[in-house]
Amino acid sequence: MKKTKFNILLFLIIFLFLQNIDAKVDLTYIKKIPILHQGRVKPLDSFARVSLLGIHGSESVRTTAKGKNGSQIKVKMSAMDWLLEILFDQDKAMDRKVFKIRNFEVVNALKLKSSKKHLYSFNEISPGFTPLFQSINDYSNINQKRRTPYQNHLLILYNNMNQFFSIQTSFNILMPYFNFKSKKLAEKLGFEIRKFYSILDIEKNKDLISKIRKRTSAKKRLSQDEQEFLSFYANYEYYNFRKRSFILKVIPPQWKQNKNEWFSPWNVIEAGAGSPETVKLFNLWQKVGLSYKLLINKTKYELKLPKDLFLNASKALFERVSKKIPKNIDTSIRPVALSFEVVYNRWGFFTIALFSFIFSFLLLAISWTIKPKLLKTISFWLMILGVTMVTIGISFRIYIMQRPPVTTLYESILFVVWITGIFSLIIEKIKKNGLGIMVGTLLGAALLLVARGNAADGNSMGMLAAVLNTRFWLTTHVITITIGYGACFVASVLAHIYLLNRIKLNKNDPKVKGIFDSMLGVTYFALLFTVTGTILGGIWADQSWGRFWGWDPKENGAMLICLWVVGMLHGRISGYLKGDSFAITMVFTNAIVAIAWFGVNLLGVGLHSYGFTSGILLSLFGFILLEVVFMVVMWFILKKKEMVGVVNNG
Amino acid sequence: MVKKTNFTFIIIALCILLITTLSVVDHFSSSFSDTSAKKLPSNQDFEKHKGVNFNFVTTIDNKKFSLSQFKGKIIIVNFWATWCKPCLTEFPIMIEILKKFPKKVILVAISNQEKKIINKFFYDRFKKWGISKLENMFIVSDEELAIKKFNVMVVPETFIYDKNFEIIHKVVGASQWQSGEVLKLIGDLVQKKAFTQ
Repeated sequence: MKKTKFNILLFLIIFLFLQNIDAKVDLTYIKKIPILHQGRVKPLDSFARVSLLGIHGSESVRTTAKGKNGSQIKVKMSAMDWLLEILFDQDKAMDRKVFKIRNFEVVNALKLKSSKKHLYSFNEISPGFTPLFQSINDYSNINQKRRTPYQNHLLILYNNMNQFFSIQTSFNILMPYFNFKSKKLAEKLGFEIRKFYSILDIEKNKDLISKIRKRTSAKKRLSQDEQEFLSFYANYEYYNFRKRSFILKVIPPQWKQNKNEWFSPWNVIEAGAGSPETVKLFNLWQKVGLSYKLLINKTKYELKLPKDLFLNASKALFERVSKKIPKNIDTSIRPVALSFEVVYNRWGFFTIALFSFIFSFLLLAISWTIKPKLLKTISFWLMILGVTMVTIGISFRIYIMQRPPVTTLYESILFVVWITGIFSLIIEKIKKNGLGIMVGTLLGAALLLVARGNAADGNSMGMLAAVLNTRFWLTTHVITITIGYGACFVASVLAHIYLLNRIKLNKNDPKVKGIFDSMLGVTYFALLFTVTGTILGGIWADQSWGRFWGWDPKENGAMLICLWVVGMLHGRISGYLKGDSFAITMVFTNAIVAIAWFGVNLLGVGLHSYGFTSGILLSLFGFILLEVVFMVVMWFILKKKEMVGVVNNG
Repeated sequence: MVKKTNFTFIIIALCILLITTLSVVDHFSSSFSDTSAKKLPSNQDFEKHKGVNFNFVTTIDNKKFSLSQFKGKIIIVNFWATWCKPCLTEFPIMIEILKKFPKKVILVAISNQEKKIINKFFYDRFKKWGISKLENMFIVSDEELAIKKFNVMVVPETFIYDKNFEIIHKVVGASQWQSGEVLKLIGDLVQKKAFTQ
């Protein structure tokens, strides 16, 4: 009976994330088209998200659209929709308000009207830039740290505008934008009237066109045809020479001699990478673009089109790119991994996990007052949901990135969340009193929040330095030591709970004793893994850098944890640290692990500074301070209690 | 209660299983591709593109041909122009190849210039290059072929077809001709070394 209830709950949660908005174009296949960006082959969906995040500060755009009865309704535009609009429906994209400018000095300098949402369109901003080019050039020569906030914001905006423009002009070479109104002119140039031509089409008559241009521009009086020709020529030249863009590398390598080089459509022609295959890819892209434009503006032209026009075009393109490319060139396209990454992007497993951890904790807290049994079971299942989501997310990352899950700071945080989650489930299974849920959800939620901060640049799947790419030692060393970190965190949180319980309860109370035993068990476990991990790290260092131990900051950090835990355990055995004092020192393990994990990266020196983060120093300092205050306060309270106990007993 | 804990452990076990299988599968798949790349001998190292067919008319005698007519021979499709210096360095080298394999190799040299210009250009060079008797060379003037069929906008670029009418190599610029690389490749192709089907 209970089982069915929870199954329904799970289904409801899944259903909430699955419901689809009725869209004009089906994006299933276009999202999966591979693109080389920042050194990695990724689906177009990921590229769209990263680009939009950089420009807009969010992975989707809120906008309005016409509803069924003509009224304006608010809609969310996905990153992929936005990218397609830039590429193939350019006029609309130029007026779409996506650029976020928060700095009011920049708004004033560009002569923009201030708006509540801080959002502006390309067409609004670009005229204001013309008088600023010289100063932008000057600012870019200033060291980043010495720039004023205004200079920094202006430069960032300028780069974003450039990025936008480069993406927007990517397909200009093959999209048919040119047509001729005069029959005479069209025939003279070797084209047909009322047909649309791309730059590639026009290029074949390049010689003739430039000849006519020379003749025409020498004339003083121009006929109507000649005027049309000149305006056509101006347009053609503008697209052809000033709008070459290399950012959208969607054409995979064709030839062994440049097998790692991907090309943007312009690039193919310039780098001599063209082949009958690229001709086919160009045609397929053209179909994708045209079908998109037609379907999006369907109502404008009153056309009746099959709805899967775009879907079929993008499907054909995807199949061509992923399957029919010459097989003996290793293009590193993995169709399944591309699909996986699209699913990963869509679901946001770690966000679901974060919310289920938070809800789980809240329900557990409520269960202390009302309906303890029911709420605790729901909270338990929510926690399982959270851990499962983290697991799925990590598994997806392993498969997509083809590397162990712990190579960047972001990934190592996720892995620790997973480890602590599993630990807490085991504790919960043994104790069955909500302790495990509390530890797991608290740590999970806190660490996932930290992880979100670390992924803010949108590039959580970056490429790695060569040293970190050696598979075997990386896997064993980093995973072992991360398990150790996770266990330390669990033990430390248990120490917090133990101390808080001790305020009311006696030392010999079974509940307090139970917590203490779990804490001690986890501490031994943590010690085993941190020591093994540190030694393995030495072996790895010996293999890749040629020395076992070099007093590198990170190595010292790992050493610090080992010494601290060993010291504590010895203190307990020898009788210096009994019960409460052991727990108080245990609390500080949290801070030590944080120093070894994050703090070392802040120094920015040594071979381990793989996750140098600038904004984190303050929060780290605050965290340590908080832990110290907690320790001192607990020590005073327990001391006082002991005195009172002594007085009462005496 | 017992059932519930069992279920918990099934989930955890599944999670661990998922992670390990994924990483194991991944490890093996990548190691496979590594070894296979190393084992390939250099002769089989050609990429294969399905050859594209087109019709052409020669400039000098106005004869019509279809490229697929020459299936079974090694076909060199060369894009060039009279004003392009690297094109003119590689042309004599190509002619040497044509003379060496008169029945086995053909050259289709395509320029987007007008017939008149091309014919005049060759009239000046017939003697210098000694090409008046070459039957396996076809000079073509066509504006569309380069872009429409091969995505070529910069000259010189050359595509080489093998006997199965598959494009197996692309040469950009003159350096590969000058170094003798292409000559060796065509020699291999003629002697069937490059066939591995």
